[in-house]
Amino acid sequence: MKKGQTEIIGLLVIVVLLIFIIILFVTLRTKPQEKAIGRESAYTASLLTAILKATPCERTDTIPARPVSIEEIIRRGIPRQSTCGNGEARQEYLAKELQIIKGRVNTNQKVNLQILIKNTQNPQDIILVGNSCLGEKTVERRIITGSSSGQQERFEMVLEYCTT
Amino acid sequence: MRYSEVRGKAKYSKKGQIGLIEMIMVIFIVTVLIVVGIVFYTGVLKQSIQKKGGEILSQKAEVELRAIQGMPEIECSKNVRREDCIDTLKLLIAKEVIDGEEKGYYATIFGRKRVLVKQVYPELQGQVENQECTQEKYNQEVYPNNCDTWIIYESRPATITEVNKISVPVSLYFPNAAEDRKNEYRIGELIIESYR
Repeated sequence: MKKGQTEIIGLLVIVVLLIFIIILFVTLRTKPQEKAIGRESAYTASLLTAILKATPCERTDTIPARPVSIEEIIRRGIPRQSTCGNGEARQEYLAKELQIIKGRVNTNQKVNLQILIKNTQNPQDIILVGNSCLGEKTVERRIITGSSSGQQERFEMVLEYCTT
Repeated sequence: MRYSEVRGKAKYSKKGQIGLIEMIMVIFIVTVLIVVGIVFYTGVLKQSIQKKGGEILSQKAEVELRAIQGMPEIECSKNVRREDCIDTLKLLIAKEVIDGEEKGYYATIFGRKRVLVKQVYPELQGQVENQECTQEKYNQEVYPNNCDTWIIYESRPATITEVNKISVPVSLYFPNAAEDRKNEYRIGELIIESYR
């Protein structure tokens, strides 16, 4: 074997080693992250249930005073004789309370939550708290039927969860 | 003749030296590359094992989180029907049971952990943050606005190297929280802190 050939083989060995290291590095760096979909789904379902069940205020026209749940407020509106808000409209009151809930529940900066309540028959009757997720998200929905103004209404509450 | 022989020898010796240095350099570079590769791979492998260990611990905690939520000791029920919430009155009693005679049984289930429930909404006024709810607090007139934490189980190792915290939102049920109020629901978090 000539000297030149030996040198080229040596160079090739180094190049092959370098390529091997680069491939190894890239493979380990771009390894897909396993997503805990089950956990996110369970989290959103639990949170939505907890929000709807929560009773932030009470009726003052009943003895004893009967607590009013968020689900009830969505369904029927704020009872006239109640401790809910300071005479605010349902939308304002719920937006305020949901914002507080969102802030209290989600202390993790990496998690983004969006809460949306929409009246499926009236597109203007909408409450939106938080920003929408851009990436992959977990969505939980609940349909709430009620009658706040004498006629049947159908609301949809949507909770979006994603990690940023 | 003699001169050229000497000259030739000197030439041969110099060339050989250069070749030797070249070979040493190549071996050195290749060795450095291999060592760097091994060090890097070991580092990544170590990180990956640690991450996997953390994930397994976290998954185990998630399973336990679900199991705890459904424990009859704390789960709320209405007319024998199970509800998706935690009964805060049961929490007070559960702590006594878990910390009492049955501690050994629960220790085999939970291990080195801290299991607690924390109220997050509505926000309580005054300095009640991280105040544990006890029988004593329950008997006070201001209950449930005088505390926000129920510790269900706690077992810490002598030395803690890592704490893995996992939580899930839960609905907290306050049966007969005050004489004039019933069926009050608040929002809380069921938290598991796993120690390593």
